[in-house]
Amino acid sequence: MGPRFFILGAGAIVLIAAATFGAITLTSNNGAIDAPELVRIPAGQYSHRPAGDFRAGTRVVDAPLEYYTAQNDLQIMKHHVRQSEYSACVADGGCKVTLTQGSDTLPQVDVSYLDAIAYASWLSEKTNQTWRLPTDAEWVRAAGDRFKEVILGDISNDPDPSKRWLKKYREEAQERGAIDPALRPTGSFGANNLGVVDIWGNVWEWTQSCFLNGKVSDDGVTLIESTSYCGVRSVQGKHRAFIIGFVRDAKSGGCAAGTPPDNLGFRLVRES
Amino acid sequence: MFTRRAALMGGAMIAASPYIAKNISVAQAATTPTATAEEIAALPRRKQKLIAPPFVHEHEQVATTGPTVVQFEMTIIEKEVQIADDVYLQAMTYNGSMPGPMMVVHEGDYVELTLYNPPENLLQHNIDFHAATGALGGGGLTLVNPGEKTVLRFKATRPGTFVYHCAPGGPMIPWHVVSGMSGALMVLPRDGLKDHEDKPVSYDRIFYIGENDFYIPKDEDGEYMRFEDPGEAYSDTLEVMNGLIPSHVTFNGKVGALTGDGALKAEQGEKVLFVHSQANRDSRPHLIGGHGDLVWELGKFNNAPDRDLETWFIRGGSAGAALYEFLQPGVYAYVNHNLIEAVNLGATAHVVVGGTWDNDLMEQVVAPTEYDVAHEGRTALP
Repeated sequence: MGPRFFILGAGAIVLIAAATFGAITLTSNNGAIDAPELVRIPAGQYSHRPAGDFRAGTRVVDAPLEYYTAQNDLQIMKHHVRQSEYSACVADGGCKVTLTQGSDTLPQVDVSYLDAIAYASWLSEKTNQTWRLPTDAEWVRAAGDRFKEVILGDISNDPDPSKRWLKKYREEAQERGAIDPALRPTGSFGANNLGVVDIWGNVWEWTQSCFLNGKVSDDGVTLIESTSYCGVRSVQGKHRAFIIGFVRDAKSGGCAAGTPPDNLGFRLVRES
Repeated sequence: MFTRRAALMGGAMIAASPYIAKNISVAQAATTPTATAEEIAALPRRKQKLIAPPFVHEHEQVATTGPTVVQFEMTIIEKEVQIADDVYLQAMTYNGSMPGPMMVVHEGDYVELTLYNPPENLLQHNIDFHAATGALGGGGLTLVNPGEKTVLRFKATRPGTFVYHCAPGGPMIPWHVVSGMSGALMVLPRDGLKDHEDKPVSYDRIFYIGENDFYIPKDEDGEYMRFEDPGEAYSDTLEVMNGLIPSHVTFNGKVGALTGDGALKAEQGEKVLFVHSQANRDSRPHLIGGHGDLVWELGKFNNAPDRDLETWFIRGGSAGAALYEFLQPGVYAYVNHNLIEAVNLGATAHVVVGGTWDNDLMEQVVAPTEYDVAHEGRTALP
């Protein structure tokens, strides 16, 4: 079963432990599938801002910061799922065909949320283990020191909606930088403090977390209520994006006025 | 008294008369004063029910009141729609029709739209009004998940016919539009339409022609594919869309929708305003056997209308208006005069006009008859 989360009292300041665990390699049960290399993210306290749109009254505000304690370690793939791995699933009839060169080194992109969960269920069957997409919070834990969030802060209090919008656009454009969207072998963008590679690259990753619409207290601290919309999932990378579950390529159109993910790929977590 | 015609001529007169130039800026400023929240709250409010195209809700051509907050409601409906014989689209619609219903207000009025996305829908939607100023035409403030509603108010500052459409971000934008999510808003000048001489003109009827380009994929056998839901249709449809060649081009959402039983009806001597909107792709309306007496090709009423046009151009992403008085009875075809699109892809409407034939305008002098090939027609007329 997955880790259980508890909401701690708001206001506590929690530092995420930056301990590095060595990557561990697992042997698969049937030998037919090379078990993906995993990184163990230690249990413990962490903070997370839920994924979605949040309002205090009619004002759009930052998602409230929430504090949790994960009871269990999290085991997550060190690399993105590679093209050769995805191709094996396609060849076996478990996954839908998409653009791929079958490369042993390049990440598989041009995958939708639906493609990613199909791969997870195929891999689970092949390995007799339980594989799934990470939640947004789990991804944030695994992103370690490479995780950066666009926090717009006090500007949320400005009644002029354009201020927040412009600031978000500038920050996302700046963070996204001038990276070439051309695929590079996994590992090319380096490892974070936890040993997870390519967090800060040009492949955005599907999470299983649904888009939330939330109401926040006037002081912006407490989430009062939220509704989830699962047609859209949180996608993580240099910034968080919200993408419709059946979309494989979010960059083609570009957001009307936002910064789209360069490529859509994924990595999975293994239930312990 | 300052007139719109003076404004049109202003460019030529500025050099000669700084006084006129000054007047222009005063006049323009006067049309768009910034109202405070209290002033907007104090304005009269009116609920206006929308009706399905090609018809338009009742409205005044010349406003008899001051600025009003006009309240509209639209519900987004995702549903399968038959767009031709044996051809089905997983449509996304405003209020269930393609195009979405047309709204009419006057310059200086406020449009206040409540947009509902019912829980049974699959997708997020929003609305971008080309008539509105800021926030991506309102698109940035109106994204609604299934089960949500939103209310947007904007001031109608520019008189003309304008497209509205769904634009929910990234590759969803063109797909939602070619799945049916577009419509038109007409902002009339408070004192109504004016001709090329700045004299008032009115219309007896208004026909709202919404043109859609559809991109229906075919299967390996060459048959049009039918899908369970919009998500399932997405990737195959995207492939056809990216080829830029529509499989169907329709008026009112279906091949033949405005022909036969659905043909438009008018009487000889009636002036008809045709509003033509196309949210995605260029079109070139032509009334076969008729004309455009006064045509606002760009659809913007601060520009003087063109006269006596044979065909006019509607840029993809715009709506234009053409006024025509029917002078002869009979059946007229209103087409996109790319005739392949009109005849083979569906972009044809008919107008059935009653009245009495005018032989002065046209008469068949000799009915088709056999002629003496040996002696007739061998030389041109002198």
